[in-house]
Amino acid sequence: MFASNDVSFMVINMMDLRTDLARAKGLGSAKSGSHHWLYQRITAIILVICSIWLVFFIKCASSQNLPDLTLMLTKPYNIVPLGILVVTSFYHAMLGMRVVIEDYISCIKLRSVLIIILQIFCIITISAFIVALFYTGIYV
Amino acid sequence: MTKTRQRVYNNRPTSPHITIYRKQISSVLSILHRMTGIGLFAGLSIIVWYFIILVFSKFDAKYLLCMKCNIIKLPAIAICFAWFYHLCNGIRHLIWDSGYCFSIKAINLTGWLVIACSLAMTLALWLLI
Repeated sequence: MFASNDVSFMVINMMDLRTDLARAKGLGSAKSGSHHWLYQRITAIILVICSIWLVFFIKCASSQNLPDLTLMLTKPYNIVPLGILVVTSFYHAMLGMRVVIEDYISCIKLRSVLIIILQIFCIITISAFIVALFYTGIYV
Repeated sequence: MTKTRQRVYNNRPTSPHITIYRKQISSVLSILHRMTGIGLFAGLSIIVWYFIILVFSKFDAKYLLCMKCNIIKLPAIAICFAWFYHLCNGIRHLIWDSGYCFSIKAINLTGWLVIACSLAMTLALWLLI
């Protein structure tokens, strides 16, 4: 196992006549690449805080009758955390699902297509949800 | 990547597949974290689109009462557990990211703690409702 590994490494190195520096320069820096990791953690912290609100919201909502429940959804102190929760969790989910797709889909073309579909889906859902939140007050 | 190099690259030994390993608390929780993440994405998408359609169809709030029906309760409890599990294990990941609790003992302990906490929180919320 080790031997075959060593040989394959040698073959790779022999085929490429460029120096390591030249190869590194050729690949180039993407200028970005770690921001998604940081954003995933930041959104995680926001979601932990929002989850505490959600528990209280579910507890309050479960004991309400129907008119009071719809009234609850029009209150700013419920709408704002709900909006933050859904938008943040969709951003968090978009980053997470992207990693999942990148891990399990080995075909590069299919992978790119799926990631783009995922991102379009998330953006549409977030936009539609925000618009829907504005309409809750009108329809109740 | 050239064709020859691609061939060499493909012949490299791969690491053992997941089914070969003995199940350990850390690996099971890691897999469960990803599975609950995917499940939560699906569940959240359905709930959010349900809400959007509800709002744009004149907000007939009686559809919110479907939570009282028993068929809905099982997936609801599953989503609830997935949410609490992902929350607890996410906090565990955040602790790791800040550089603490890396010893085997701490990893096992926090792992069991996450299971206990998520089960207790799910139970508590459903008893509370």
